[in-house]
Amino acid sequence: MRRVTSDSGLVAELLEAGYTFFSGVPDSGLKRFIADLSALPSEMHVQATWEAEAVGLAAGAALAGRSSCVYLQNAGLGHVVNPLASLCLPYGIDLLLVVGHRHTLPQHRVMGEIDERLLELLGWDNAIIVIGDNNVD
Amino acid sequence: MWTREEAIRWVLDRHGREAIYVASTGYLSRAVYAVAGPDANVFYMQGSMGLAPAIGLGIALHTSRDVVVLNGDASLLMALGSTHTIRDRAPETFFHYVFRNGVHESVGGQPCARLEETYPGVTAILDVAPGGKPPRVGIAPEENARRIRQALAADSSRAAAGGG
Repeated sequence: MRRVTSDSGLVAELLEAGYTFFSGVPDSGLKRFIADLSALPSEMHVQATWEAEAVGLAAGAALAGRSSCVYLQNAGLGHVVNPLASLCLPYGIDLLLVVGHRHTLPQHRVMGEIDERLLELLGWDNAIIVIGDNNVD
Repeated sequence: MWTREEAIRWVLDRHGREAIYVASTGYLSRAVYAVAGPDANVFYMQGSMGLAPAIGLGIALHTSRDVVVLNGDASLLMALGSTHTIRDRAPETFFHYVFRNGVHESVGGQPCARLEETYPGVTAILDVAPGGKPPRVGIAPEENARRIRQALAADSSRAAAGGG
């Protein structure tokens, strides 16, 4: 697990690292990341209706040989606990999670405190937490 | 109204041995395993209820083969948003069959909400009778995933050349 303070240049870095499929749900902390994804060939990026679907899409792409990445706001970690626990881990399907970290507003406070520990508890290390600068308002 | 096994055989016969199949959670995966066996190109998705169509679409976007999802009615309802992603993004090689038995059969037969007659992203709804408890899927998840990866790797260069 790794923390970064900006999503700027992250897509280019992941492409360089060999990632060829991206799926997720938008987050205000990942605006540049998602804008960069929109420039990719369409088969490389599918926006999902919710985060669990994104894990399913990325898992399918991984079975077809793609290195796959799921992006989401940390609120969406609640939606991916079961897909990680009952699909990715038992079937040996590895995905990179790019997580926009929110923590200031009341609805984000609890997940903002536990997001990294939640992933640790799951035994999921392949994640980049984007701390960003949009947590004030 | 078909038996569950008749409907499974109809889908398997329609798409053949070259297709890649994704079978949904619970008794449906077990029943498909009982019909198709360990050597068929079936991803037996035994957890993650609702995600079989998403997994199938993720595969279909990266292979030239037909990809066929066998889903349940309650599973469709659990992740209904996928129907719209399929509508917008699925290639013509993607097929999604929903087995409608009206119940959560694997966990006790409790009724589920009644489906509409059509949905975007659903190839066909097949009315089946609850079919009872089949034996467990006889292939471990990691081995199942390994075999599906292997089957898909065989045509990855073909898919890339054809635009996948």
